[in-house]
Amino acid sequence: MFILQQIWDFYATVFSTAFNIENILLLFGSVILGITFGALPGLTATLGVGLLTTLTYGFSTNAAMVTLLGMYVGAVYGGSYGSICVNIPGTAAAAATAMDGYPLACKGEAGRALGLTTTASFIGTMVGMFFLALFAPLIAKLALQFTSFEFFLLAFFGIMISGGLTGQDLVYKGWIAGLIGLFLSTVGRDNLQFFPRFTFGLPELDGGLEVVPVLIGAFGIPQIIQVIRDQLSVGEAKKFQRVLPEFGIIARRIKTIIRSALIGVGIGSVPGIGEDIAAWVSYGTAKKASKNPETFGKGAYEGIIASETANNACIGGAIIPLLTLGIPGSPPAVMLLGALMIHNVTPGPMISIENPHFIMEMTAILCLASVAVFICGLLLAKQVVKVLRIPPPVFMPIVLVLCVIGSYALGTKVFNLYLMVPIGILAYFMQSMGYPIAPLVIGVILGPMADENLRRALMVSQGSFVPFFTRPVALILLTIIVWMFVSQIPFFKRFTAWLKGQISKTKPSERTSAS
Amino acid sequence: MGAGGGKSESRNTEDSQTVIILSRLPAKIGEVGKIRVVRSHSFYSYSYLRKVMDKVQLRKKDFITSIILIAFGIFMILYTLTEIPMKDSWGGVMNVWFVSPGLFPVCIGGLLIIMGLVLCQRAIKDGGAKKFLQDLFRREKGSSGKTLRFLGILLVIVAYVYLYIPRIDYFLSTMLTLLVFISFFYLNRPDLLKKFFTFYLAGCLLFLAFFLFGIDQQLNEKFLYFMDILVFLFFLGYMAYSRLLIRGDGILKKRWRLAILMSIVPSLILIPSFKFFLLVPLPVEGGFIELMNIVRYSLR
Repeated sequence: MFILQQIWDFYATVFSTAFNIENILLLFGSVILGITFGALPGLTATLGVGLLTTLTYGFSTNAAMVTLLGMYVGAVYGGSYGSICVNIPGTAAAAATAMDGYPLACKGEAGRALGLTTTASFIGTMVGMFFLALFAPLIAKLALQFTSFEFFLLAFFGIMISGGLTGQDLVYKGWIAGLIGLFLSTVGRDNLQFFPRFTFGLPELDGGLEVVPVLIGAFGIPQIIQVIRDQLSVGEAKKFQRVLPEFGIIARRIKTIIRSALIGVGIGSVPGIGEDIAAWVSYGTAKKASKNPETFGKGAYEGIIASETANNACIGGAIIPLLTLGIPGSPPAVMLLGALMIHNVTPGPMISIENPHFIMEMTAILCLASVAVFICGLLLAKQVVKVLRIPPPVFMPIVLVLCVIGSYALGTKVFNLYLMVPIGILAYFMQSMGYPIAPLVIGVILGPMADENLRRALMVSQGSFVPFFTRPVALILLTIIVWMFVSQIPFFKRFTAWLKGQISKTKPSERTSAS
Repeated sequence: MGAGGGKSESRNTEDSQTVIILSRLPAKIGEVGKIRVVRSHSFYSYSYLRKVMDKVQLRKKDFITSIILIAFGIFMILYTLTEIPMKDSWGGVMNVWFVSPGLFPVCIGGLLIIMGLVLCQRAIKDGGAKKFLQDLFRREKGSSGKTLRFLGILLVIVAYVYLYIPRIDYFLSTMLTLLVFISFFYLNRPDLLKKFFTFYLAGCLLFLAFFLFGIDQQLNEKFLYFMDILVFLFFLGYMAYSRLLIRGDGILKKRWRLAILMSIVPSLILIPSFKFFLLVPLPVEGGFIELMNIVRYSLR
């Protein structure tokens, strides 16, 4: 009965959205905008969703989600245009696509490459959607049994893993970024006792930092500064004739597609790790699994299929923890979370009780968005590539204006702008020293959850930490967190290396076969 | 993650991939001899960093950061212990340590100190601390071109948000910011940038002085929208000054025209749509927005 209800919800949303002319216009408009945003180097999906959030706050929840998911899917897909046509990835998610996409374009196969990315993206999004539909209700049901202990650990785990996997220089730089985010989240009156913390007597800080200006500042300002400062210049775009779906090539590489889609969904569902990492991991795996890995980097179809399928499958994956646990799976999903909060939808395990149809509605919208992207990709690719001619010094200032008006418009408070700029500059300096930004914003988002649940949990146990060890899910999470932490300590690293050395000494034959 | 690019073997696979992307940038850019890379996301930054800044330099910065982090962690703990009640009653509720609003900040502060120490240890090990002490008594020579570009962006953003938005008509401040920002970097000549920068900075400082001494309010009282008119004159002045500087250069003239177009058109589209469609009250609705109001309501 439950499943039938879900399927009914899905089709009801698909048809009610598809037969509503306003929604269809919004969908296609935001998808085209998203593709353009993705194609322009320096504008990311995260920024796009963030900027649109401010425009959609007057919409109904359904229309807002149509717009934002259209933007999200479009921008993740659109990144491949820059990768293929000018060898400069439009978004980080498409960086892996440039590895094989540009060589293909050099061979005069840009049209085919774009056809492949369009089809692969479509399939990827669809697979992501399928997993969203399948797992989100289950996880939401499971998560209903979580208590404050689990939620505290889950929030903490989200920050730790996001920091651990996105830190490029040193792992703990990711954690430091997460801690700074957590600090920012403590500013304002705390949610349990309404005691003002770190407000320094400023009444504007009493309500805490507003999430959207912080997000826009942290993602937008560094982007603007970097692109302008580093004098990005875009070369002449490669020419192409038509973009066709290329089902033949895709069908013969079905294994790559399935593997990449699974990688995408898996990585997407891990908190705070986004499309870029999914694409690289999938690309690497496809290369490892390929019979002729030497063709990778010289224009292998598998290469672009792998990265594009994975980065789009990541979207569905990222929405799973977002809806069921309130923990965003990728940076654009962080923005989505901000948007959901504005529309008074509280993601988390209670979602299946408070808004029983919401998960399926999101799934249906994701499905429509992927169809819209597919259509727009095939029909409009040639026109969209023209935007690559716009020089960054012309569009980045407009992005600045959008960031400013976007941060201002939500609360109509100029104070939000005063906050956005320092946070943006801080994020810029952190990024230039090798700190990732994703954990910072995840920290800001999950901070209140961690804070409240820690104290609530201790209140229940009267200050005892024992339940952390006696509750099974809590224990598992705690073990993972401790392991992540300990594995970074040099002494422990030496110990494991020594242990591995001992094992390989005893089994030399296995080691050779494994490598 | 097992993908190198075939060209170079590197321990860190992500880096080797990124390096190859860099090496495949169009030939034209290579000829200019500058590294021009999109850092559209932090994912690039480490390999990018390794090209631009060597490791010791990075560790030097890490060393400074680690000290800031430790200091900040200590500040957090001290602030929490002195300002936030750990055990006392607040709002009639007797508190215990584990429900105190100070519990979480203390934990974060403690973790920040630990992380700062770990980072500090790493920075010392990699020679960052030594580099810091060496450079302490020596003035550093940075690439002035990039620094000026950075300062230019910073000036534009800071002046827009802190100087113009709170006091000047929103449409006008946006238009001015767009014109200055685009002309700074789209004309793309270091000597011009320097002159524009000085001109704009001088104007901003003048207005800052006005605002600090409250002259703007007196002027506005005497004559409606006086400051808006003054800033508009500055806008026109900047336009004329930049036109004067690029005389005789065909390409720059074309770019100058585009810069003006791109400062006016987006403002004309964005601001009325926020004001009249999304019904957002703008920060300061001065002369220009009043003009829009008149147009809007006469059309109805």
